[in-house]
Amino acid sequence: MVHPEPDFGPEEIRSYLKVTGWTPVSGGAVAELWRLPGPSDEVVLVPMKPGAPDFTKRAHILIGDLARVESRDVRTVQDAVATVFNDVTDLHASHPTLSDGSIPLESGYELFISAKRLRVASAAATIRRQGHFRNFPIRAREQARDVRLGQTRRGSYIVPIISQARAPEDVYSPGQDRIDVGVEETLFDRRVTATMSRALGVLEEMAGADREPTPSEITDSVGEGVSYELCQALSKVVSADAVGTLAVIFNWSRVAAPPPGTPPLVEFNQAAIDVVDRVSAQLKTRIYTSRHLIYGIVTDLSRHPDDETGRVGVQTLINRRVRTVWMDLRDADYHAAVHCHDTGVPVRVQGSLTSPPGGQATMEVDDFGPDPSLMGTSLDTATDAETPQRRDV
Amino acid sequence: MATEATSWQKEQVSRAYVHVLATQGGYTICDWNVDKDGVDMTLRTRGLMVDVQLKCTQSPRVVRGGYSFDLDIETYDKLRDPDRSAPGHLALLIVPPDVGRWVTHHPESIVLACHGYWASLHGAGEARSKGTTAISLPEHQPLTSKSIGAMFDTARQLLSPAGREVN
Repeated sequence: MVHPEPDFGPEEIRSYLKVTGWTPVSGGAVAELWRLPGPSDEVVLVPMKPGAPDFTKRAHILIGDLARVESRDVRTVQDAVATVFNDVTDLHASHPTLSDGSIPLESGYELFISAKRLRVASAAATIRRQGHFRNFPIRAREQARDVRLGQTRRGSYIVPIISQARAPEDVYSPGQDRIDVGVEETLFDRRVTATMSRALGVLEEMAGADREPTPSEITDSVGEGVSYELCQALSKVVSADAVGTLAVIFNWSRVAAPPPGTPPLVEFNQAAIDVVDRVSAQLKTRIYTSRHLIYGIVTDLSRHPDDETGRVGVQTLINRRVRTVWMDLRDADYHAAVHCHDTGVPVRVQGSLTSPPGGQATMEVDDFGPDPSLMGTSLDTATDAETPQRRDV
Repeated sequence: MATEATSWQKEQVSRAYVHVLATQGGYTICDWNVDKDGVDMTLRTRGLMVDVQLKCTQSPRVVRGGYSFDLDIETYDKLRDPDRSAPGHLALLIVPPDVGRWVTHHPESIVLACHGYWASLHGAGEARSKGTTAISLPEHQPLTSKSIGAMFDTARQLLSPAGREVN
């Protein structure tokens, strides 16, 4: 039997083994042995050189071993290893007529297009919580190009969207003094998926409520990432004749825990879409205020003992360029900034951004806190200790 | 009268020979139907693996102190690659010229008239010739279940931090 080239490398294998309970027992530059304690005391070999002539063979043997140990089929385990650093969002279309696992071409087309629409809308909402009316930020359009489409699966009809995630320990160190562009790009993918999950969760909640959503609830939903475009994308796919229900399932990377407060599954049928359409209609006529979101790390902290506010610099990517955005934070937010700086936790800041080319970027802050898209952002361990002074001004 | 065996017959008797040795030594086996990367069989024990390219001949080339086999350079390069996570070996199985003598039956046994020799190619130097290179299979390296244990010693060394220094 000829084995296809594996679509994963040593890092995916090692991370997968780690999260499934295996531990390394010995290893050199070319291979490692990992052990799974238990009645059968399994040991597997991990090849470490993807360019070696026997890498494919070793990977195939390893996947076979894992499939046997986990009592799962080889294909499932291979997919799980290959996507260990990815969040996989399954768009799951179902309808009584889809019993043979196929879908009418037109409905399938709508499903695929919706995958992109949902992604672009979520990416745009991750950058700015507002309606964009086809005037999406370039970054949002680019992000949709970065994500990948997995193999469609039979059963009902499932389209997997694959996006990157990153383990918390691979993010930032305490006191980090600059952002890493590569890390930020990966984190943006995770943030977009988190936005999509929260926004769809809010929409599902509104659709499932006993009463119509109020205008203020709809307005608040914008803060969670709901947008006119997201509603439209949902509506189009569920309105297709051959799609009775659309379920969106979030399979979060096994190396980066699910963002807090995100639902693992949301479901929309035609009745739900009626509500979504009404939300959409109201959002279309809503006058948006431009509230920016920036994500980054706290690199500068300064505050006089008697000052009511502290000056904070957050390094972030604006139009894919590294910029430091300056902001004045009141006591509680300043405490949060100090804690995030000291623990290496990325922050999310919402407010009105002024970013003149060549000038200093500043922000009037509405909301400041640890990035909720990522784990390890809890402030539970924050103490009420006196705010540290970083630098005299 | 001597008859030239077909290549599949030689391949299968070689596999049978190694199967018997591996069984005796308590090793498990992966048989590869397509020799894509220079390997016919992989032997395993507790995560460790060794790869073997099998060759079988009815007319071995005898040299001083053992045998010699001309291995194609492509296979040689794959088996000697120092980046391999399991060491590569050549095993040469020698069978009688007459196929009828390969197996003899006795009341309480069958006798396989096959003997083999092995060479470790892991980390070996670049071939000086083109097309094929002569691999020496010394008489003092008979292919036995004990020698398979020696192959696993090499595999074990690959898992040490200085593993690439092997050979």
